[in-house]
Amino acid sequence: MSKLRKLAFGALLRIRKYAGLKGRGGIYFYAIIVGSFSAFIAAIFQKCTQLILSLLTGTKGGHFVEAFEQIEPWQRIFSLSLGGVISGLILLFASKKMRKKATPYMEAVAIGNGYIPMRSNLLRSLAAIVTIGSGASIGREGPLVQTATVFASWFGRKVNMPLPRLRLFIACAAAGGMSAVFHTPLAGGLFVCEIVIGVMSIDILAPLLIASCSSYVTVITFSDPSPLYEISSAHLTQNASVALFALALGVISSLLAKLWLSALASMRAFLNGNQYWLPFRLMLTGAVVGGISIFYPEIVGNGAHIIRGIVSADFSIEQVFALLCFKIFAVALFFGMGAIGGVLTPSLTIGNMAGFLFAHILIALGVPLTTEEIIGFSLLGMAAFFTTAAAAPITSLLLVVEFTLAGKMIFPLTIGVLASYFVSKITHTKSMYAASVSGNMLPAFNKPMGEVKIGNIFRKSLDTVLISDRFSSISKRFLRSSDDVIFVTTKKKKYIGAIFRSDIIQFLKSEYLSEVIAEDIMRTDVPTLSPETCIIDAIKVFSGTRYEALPMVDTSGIFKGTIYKSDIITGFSEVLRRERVSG
Amino acid sequence: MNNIHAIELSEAMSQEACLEALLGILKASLSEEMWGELKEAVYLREDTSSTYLGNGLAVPHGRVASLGSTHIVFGISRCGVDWPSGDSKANLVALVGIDKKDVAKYLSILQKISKWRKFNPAIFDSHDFDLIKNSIISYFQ
Repeated sequence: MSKLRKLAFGALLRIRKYAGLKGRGGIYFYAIIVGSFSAFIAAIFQKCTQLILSLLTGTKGGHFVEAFEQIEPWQRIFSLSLGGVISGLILLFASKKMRKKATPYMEAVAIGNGYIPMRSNLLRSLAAIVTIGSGASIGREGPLVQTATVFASWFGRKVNMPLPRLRLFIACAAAGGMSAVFHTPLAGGLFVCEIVIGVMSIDILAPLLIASCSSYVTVITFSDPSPLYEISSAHLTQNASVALFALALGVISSLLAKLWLSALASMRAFLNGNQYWLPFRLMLTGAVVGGISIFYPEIVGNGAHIIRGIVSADFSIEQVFALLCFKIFAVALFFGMGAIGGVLTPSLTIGNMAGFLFAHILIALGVPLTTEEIIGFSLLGMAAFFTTAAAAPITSLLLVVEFTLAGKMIFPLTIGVLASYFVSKITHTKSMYAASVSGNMLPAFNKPMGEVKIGNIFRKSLDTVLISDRFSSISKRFLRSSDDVIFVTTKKKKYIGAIFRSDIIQFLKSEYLSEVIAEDIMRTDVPTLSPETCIIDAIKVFSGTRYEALPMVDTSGIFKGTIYKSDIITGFSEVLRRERVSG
Repeated sequence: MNNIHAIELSEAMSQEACLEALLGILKASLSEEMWGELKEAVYLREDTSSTYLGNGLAVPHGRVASLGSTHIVFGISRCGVDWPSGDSKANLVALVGIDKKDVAKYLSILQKISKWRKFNPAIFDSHDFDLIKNSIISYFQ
């Protein structure tokens, strides 16, 4: 088996060499492959959740709400509770037994080193499959995309992609995953570009779009090619009063989204406590939501059923109001208790219901609206709500247009989205992805330039080697990761020196150097930075060296982490941009 | 590479005596201060872990800042030097003095010595000092 694997990788490396895939154009080739691969991961993930649903409910799978409507009330509670216990046990096992903790793909792409540990992340994906399959009120897009990026990270490191390319490659996998979930080739790429990477450049966007298109082609080739929620009946007249209503809905949706984000954060802070209670907590959550589902089965699943119901005018205003309250409660409870799942579709569902209720308030105030216009406002609410929740106006706009085919509503949608974005800025709303894409750096970037210290923006890479560690184990680490440097410390983590990939790269696979130790290949002339070093001084130190990363060492000589030149420059330009904009 | 020397080591030599003999060859081509630093680095490295590589080959070395050029002295022993015990007898001891920043060069030299030993498995059976000396020096030049 390992021989076959070696042959396959050898062939791949040869293809890469002769096809010039190491060059700039190579990423387009990889984007096609990883996009298509992500679509298959999405299909497998979906099949697995349906299998769990069938096993727990005894139905033939399919849609969650339909399956729950077919079963007895006690079975609804049982399914969600059992799913909660099992996923809680898996998460507990992962947290206690896995040495390497799971890394969110957003962090790996935005600020990390592209390394997403395989086992811990796959265990989390398994927990998510069980939770989602049991009918939990959460989305599947988050863990599904995470699963695709785990494999992308593994592959990228196997073929020794340099760090910037590895990050982009993982981002391509994420774009492919998003495109496969929502059938949105354009919004899939934009989602990653706008939310995760945060830079709209054609050099970045092009491979992302290639990956999402490749994923979409795979999806439409092997499964249903229709849009997720085709709503050709939605309509909003393009006149001044509709523009004003769109503006008002944008503002209201943004404020609602802010409340929603606060509720999520509060629930996480108050409920997500001791890990040992996780299985019990998730079981309890399952029982509570299962109990609600006896009366409102629509709250199970990610909320897609509610969106379809609203746009088909299946629900009364009272039903939608009750569903809105219960949905917010159920999603916040699941996330607060520590369940693994996506928050994107639930956000869209809440926004959709808010838009629907807004339209009915207009009717109550005497504004005559047709059914098409009510649906139109519900879509507008969806886009505006997600704009604030994700801090991504362009993605929100295109996501809604693409998966509803409501292109003729682009004008009022744009007004609603921009109004929402404007309100989110003046209310300083942090998006639901802010923590994942900024790691521990965001607080640092909010300080004045002179106060930003290295201790705020270093990376905790405590994976060091000892002075007597053999070359074979050091080269293995370099082959497995994309790190440019490994630091040498004593057993008590006192810093000694640094081993650079560039020094030993041509010898990584040598069979003659097994007796070489870290001391033989480390450099001791590498400048060190202290946690108190100011960002400006750090730039001066970097400019005097050729190194891309330096060690951060405290006053007693203990190694604390790694400072990357790219992080320093990102931090510097971020603070500079903020200071320039805010005066 | 010009700074390559080779000497024949006398019978029943200790590890320390061998190192002194090899370092002695470099005394003429280095300043006293640099030579002292190299000697200290060689002994410190040997204290960390043995530089015996197997196959009768030992590569004691010292990495010294600002050494500039690289120096290699081969010591060839018919009966082998205990490195450091009788279980690991070195027939070829290659002392390498190298600048601290030349990491890749150090690895390249080490790889070359190991390759030479691998491709000349029976060379020490001949007990012919000149043959061994010429073989390894020509391999490096």
